[in-house]
Amino acid sequence: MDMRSFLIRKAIYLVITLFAILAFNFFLFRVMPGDPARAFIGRGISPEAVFIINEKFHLNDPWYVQFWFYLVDFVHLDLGVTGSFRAGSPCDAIIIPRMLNTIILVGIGTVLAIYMGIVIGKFAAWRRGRPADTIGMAFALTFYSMPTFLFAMFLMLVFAAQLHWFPLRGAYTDDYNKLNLLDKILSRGYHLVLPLIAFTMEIMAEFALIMRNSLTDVLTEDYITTARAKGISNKNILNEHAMRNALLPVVTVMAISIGWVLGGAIMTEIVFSYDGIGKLTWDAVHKRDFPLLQALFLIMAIAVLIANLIADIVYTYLDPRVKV
Amino acid sequence: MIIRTEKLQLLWKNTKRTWKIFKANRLGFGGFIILIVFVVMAVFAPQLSTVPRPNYFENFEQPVGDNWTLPRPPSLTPSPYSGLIHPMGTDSFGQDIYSSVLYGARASLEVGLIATLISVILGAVIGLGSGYFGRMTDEVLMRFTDFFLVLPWFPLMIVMMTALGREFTWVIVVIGITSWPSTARIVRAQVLTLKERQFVERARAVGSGDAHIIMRHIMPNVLPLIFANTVLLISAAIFSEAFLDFFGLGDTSVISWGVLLEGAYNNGAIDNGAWWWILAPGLSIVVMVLAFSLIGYALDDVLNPKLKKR
Repeated sequence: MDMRSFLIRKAIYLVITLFAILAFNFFLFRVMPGDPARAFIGRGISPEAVFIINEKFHLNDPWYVQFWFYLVDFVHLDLGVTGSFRAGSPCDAIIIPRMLNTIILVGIGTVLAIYMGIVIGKFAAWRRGRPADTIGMAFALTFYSMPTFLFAMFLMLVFAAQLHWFPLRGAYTDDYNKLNLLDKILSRGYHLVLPLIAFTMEIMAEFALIMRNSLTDVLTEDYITTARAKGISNKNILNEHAMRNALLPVVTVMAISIGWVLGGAIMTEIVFSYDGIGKLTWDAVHKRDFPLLQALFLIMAIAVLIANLIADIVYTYLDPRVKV
Repeated sequence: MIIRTEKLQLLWKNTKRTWKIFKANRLGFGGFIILIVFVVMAVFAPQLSTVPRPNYFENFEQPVGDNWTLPRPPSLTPSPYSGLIHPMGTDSFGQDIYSSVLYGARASLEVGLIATLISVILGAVIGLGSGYFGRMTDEVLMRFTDFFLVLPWFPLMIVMMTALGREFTWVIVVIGITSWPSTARIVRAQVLTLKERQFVERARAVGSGDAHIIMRHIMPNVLPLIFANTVLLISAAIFSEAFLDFFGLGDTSVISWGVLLEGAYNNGAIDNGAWWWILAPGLSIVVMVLAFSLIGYALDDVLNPKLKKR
């Protein structure tokens, strides 16, 4: 199969999975308790008003008609309206500004974590069985076993609440809109330090562990011994011969662990009141705002879907043995 | 009958050998010791705790005067209100942390073991079905597994818990039914190689049915291999439970480390500098997850034939 038919097959799977996610998202939220109309108007709602609201959202129709409207609205990128915040305002107006905050945190954090994880894993694997390896792996395992929110709370307790080096909450200062561009960036950077450390440490630990295990596997292969016998320098063996093959399983596991990455981001955002998708999810759950939660789950699922697709394509580029 | 005793003897010998290799793995053995400590904590929580049933309101401490305020830092002097000692301090409601941490070990072990059991049964059934029957069954079940593998795990748990409500049983069930795909994949891969082996062919030749072959020939060969993965799943389940509790979706009527931490975060432990309120339950989660991870990796070393040469 050539690249084109591979991409076509991937695209078909993507569409099927997307449909499955939409169906799942639609039916799961139908089992939730509560009357949707009550989310918009609280007390003293008349039956006529309930009927009008239900009619507006097609809630008086049978489920398959509702599902059809759900699919049509999704294609139009209409994610529905929220019950909390300003009731009736569209979900995307609330989600998009917060998405930027999350993308900044997750983007910078993931790149840092991948880079540091690979460096630490490489360092430990090359010194397998020596104290540096043991210390490095004990360090990585400890952070891997620690829920992100715990480490985040520790950082906040020490560096924000006690030492006052960093702000306690938020993604930027309260007078953010009055600042000029440079101050805006500085304000964001200052608020980002602690959440970034908390978020990066845990996923870095995971990547370091995978990198180390994968590399120790590769280093026992015969072709490494051959390379050594040929008199190639250690540095060259590690970087040119071993790393190439060792990176393959790392890419696979990174794709699978995107779910973990999201979990880490959610926990970090909650602890630091960092206004992003994770904090918004928390708000939506506690305000029982189901339409918003539904929209958020859909966005996160699609993000993971796209990330997996990218990982698949990267993998076929990295490993010529994979018949696409 | 004789065959059965011989089989048992062989099993015993194998177990003894595995245990010997496992014991030689120092990290794994360390994890095992830690785990025993936690099991003792959980089983004898009523005897070891200083405050019986620490989450009952009538067992809460009350502030007395100006220098006996809540949250109370760790100390060995008995409280003037109840005369009880709080070696790890109390939270801002007056709940004893030490006793709560002991009882919390129960919740974590329950979630870890039962949720993993659910997930392993689901994963094994789906993996066996798809690997053994192949063709359309395989295609359908694997697409289903892939779908679950792609769904973001934590948000999925959040959404399901929101739908079902804050109840301890649901926490266990939700963690169980969101973590099976990895098991299904491993089981399927094993079954695919096993079903081509000669002993399966022989069993089929003498007229054994599918059910018999799966139960007698495939299952016993698959189970040891998924054992290591299972132990790792336990640590993931404990982790997930802490996350759900912290998110505010855990059952507050059950004492668990996650609920303690949620209380600490929501009630100003950070602003008050009440480090003991965070440290004790937090450290317990880390150490327990670490213990299961160490055992899991050690078992992987022992049981995985691919890694033997290392």
